[in-house]
Amino acid sequence: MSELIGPTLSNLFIPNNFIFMNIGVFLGIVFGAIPGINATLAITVMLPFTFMLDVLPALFTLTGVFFGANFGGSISAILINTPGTNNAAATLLDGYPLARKGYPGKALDMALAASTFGGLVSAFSLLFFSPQVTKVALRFGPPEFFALAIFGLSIIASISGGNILKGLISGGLGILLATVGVDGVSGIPRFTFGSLSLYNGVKMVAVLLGVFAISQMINRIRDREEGGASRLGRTSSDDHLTMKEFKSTIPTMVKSSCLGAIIGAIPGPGAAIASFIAYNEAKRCAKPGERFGEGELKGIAAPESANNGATASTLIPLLTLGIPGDAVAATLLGAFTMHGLVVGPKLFITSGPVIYAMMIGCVIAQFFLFLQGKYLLRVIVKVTSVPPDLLTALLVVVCCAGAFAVANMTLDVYVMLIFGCIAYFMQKLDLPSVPIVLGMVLGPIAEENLRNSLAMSGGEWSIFVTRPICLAIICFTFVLIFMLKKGDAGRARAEREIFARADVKPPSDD
Amino acid sequence: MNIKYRSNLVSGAISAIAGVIVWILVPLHIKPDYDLDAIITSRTLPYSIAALFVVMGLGLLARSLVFKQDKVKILVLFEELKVVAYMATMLIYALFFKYSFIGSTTFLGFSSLAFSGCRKPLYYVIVFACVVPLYFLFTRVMYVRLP
Repeated sequence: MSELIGPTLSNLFIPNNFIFMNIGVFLGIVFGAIPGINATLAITVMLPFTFMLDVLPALFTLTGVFFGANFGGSISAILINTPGTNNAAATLLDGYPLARKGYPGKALDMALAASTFGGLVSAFSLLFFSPQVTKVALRFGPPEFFALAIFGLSIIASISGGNILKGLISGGLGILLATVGVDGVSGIPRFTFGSLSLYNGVKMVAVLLGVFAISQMINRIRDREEGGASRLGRTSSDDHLTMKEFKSTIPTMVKSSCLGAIIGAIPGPGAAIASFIAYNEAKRCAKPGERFGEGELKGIAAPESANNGATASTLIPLLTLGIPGDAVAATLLGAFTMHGLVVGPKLFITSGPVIYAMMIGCVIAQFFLFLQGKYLLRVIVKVTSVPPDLLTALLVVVCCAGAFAVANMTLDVYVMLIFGCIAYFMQKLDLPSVPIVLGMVLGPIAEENLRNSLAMSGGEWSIFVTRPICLAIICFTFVLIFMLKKGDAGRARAEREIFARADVKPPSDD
Repeated sequence: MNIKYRSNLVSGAISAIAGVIVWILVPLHIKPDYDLDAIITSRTLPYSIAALFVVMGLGLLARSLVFKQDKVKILVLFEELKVVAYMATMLIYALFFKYSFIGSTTFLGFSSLAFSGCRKPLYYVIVFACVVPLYFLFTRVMYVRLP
């Protein structure tokens, strides 16, 4: 471990890293503040621009976008009562009423402080827990990895929007897509339709751009949005967060950040659930005189520290086990792959200095997030008033260039456009699109390790239940499915109650 | 004009049909393995997915027709025609992409603005002004061989 300190620090303390980290955070806040553009879309659009960068600046840009977008979502929630991202939906319940009372600055200060706090807790949990999980994961063999892939695929149960059959269809489509190309075990081409370009398979980045970016652009073309520009007008001199107010929210932030970090580390639930649970918890523990729903500071602190608490910690299962817990992690997985990093337990051995530098960078990024939020907020709010028509056209243009840049192949542009259209029609049928990505990532892992496991055991299926870790993962998968389904029902109920009380239309899950 | 459809019914039918198509395509596009004793071959996973599509599709059909669990959705034809026309624009874009990135991408950017109902000439200028530097950024800085 000590031998890693030198290379890690020399990898980290390069000016380029901090420049790109700041660019990522800035763009993330801007994208996050624009309603309809979430962290996944922002990272997907930015992904092609990172191809030319070295590994660390590229990862810092993308993780910066991720952290920034989570805070950015709260800006439009507070200023125009429309959450920029789903994760910020709970923030508007107290953020907007406080802004209406004439304290938008105070509300934004609180959101920023809580976001930074949550982000720090999350980044430290990534830094300290990832190596521990890796130590266990290094003992895994093919049966355990097969069980892990199935565990990862079980997340589909939680992200299927109440209809698991549809989630499985989408997941199946993703797995089927991943089979295109030469089979890694037998060397036999599958579904290449005679095209040499398809021998290397369908590029995940092209599919990501189609599913998350192009389909959204098509939606924006159909439902023409009027300019939802945020405004941060002149306010009174006491419109800022005082130290006393900040101190009063520290217990709420500590509790919510820890809650967020734990929920973030579990594949499946995601930051939006963390923020609702934290809001409910803060409300349940409210002292007399604290009026949630009317501009209570703790009502902003709880969801913001929870949703940022769930950011870096989502990288724990990704980096250590190779399991992306949500769409953002799956997109980041694309970035890791593009830069030659193979996620999983061996990542810490093969690329230790880079990964440790990235994790320390996640901590540093929180300070840049705070500084940018504090001093550039007015500029950011101005940038977010780009007219939606223009933004859509510009994003389409960027995506097209980005898809080609993946491998200098026109086929990737076609794949992106085709999957944009497919994802649009899937939305019409309530078929969720995130399972496609999960299927694409985890399908090949499951197939390869299943074949290797059976080769190891001479065709005996009992290998999966005779190895204790494998059996434990299988049992945990069933427990997780049960808990996620139970948690989903609870969250939906809480969300309905909260929004009904606040008389606000809940955001869609798209 | 509006078209009403049942979400589970339509997606169930599409899934079942897709499953059958994949099942038929597997032997046509994946050769048999050289190792005849292998329990899991190159065809196993695609066959499993085809079966999954069929089973899930039948499940959705049963939900809709037998258990009457379905959501009626409305398709506003005018809006969807706009989307289909935009997709056709994408097709034209795809056909011309290999000849000129600047030309085809400007066309798609302008089409996106036109489909959004944008009438401000300045926005069209901005889109063109972005495509050109983007081309140079990708070709000169990132060494991407854009057409």
